[in-house]
Amino acid sequence: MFIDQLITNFIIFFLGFFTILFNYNTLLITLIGIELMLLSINLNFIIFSIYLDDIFGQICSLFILTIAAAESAIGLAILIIFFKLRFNLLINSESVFRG
Amino acid sequence: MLNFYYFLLFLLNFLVILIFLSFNPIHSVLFLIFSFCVAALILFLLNIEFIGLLFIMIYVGAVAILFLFVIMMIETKIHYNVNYTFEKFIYTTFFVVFFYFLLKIYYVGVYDNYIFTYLFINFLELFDKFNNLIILGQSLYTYFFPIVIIAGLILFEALIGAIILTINLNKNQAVINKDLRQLSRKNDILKYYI
Repeated sequence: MFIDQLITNFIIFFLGFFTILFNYNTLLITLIGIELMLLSINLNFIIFSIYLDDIFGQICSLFILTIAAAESAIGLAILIIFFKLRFNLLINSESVFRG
Repeated sequence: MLNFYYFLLFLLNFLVILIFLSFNPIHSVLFLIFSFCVAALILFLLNIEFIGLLFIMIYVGAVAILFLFVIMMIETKIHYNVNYTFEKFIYTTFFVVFFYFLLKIYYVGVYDNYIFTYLFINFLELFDKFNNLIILGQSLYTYFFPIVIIAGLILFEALIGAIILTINLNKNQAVINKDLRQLSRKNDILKYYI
């Protein structure tokens, strides 16, 4: 049970990393990938707090939650500025090198 | 109950694979909301009710809805590469299955031989029974109160930063950009003029 939770956390973290890495569509997918990575780290802290019977892991997960909320708010604000400048969110080489 | 737990873990992996594979950002955000709900259900099964409720409140109620608002504000142009999907699906399922068995072998060697997993007695439950909420509140507001203040300052800074980034102080520029924005709503109009 503990081991399977650790494996799912690992897989979620690296699939979130791959969503950032193999992203050819929009810039908005990268923020979703970062959210997934933060979710997996949260679950990892919580499962270790259960395993070691220490409350500090759950408190760390609370602060990671606040950081995730602040990060997503500022990241989406930056996305809106990006859209104002360029009128799309594509990250193809065509749209970037157009000038 | 353990079967339901394993089903939830499988569902979480499957939803994350779907987030990775979907081309439309609306679909990926909807799968993201569903995966947050599944993570909260896992926390309910592990007897951590308060953080599970916080997951639903903050992740689903604030972060994912913020993503949906931005998708509604910004018209995203989707590139469907249908030929790539099946290969990507095969690669990701191969990745997940391979790392599942590899890490299963590795973690069994590390953690399952640990003696204290079988000798664990929860002494707090023998004397007193606390909620998860009471334990978190007592430790958070007695020992970790400076960190709570710092977290509040970080959230305040995020609020002010988001407002300052998106506010438009130069109002003349917005009027000029309106025509371009109307034209850029549809791709095909520019083709006829050029």
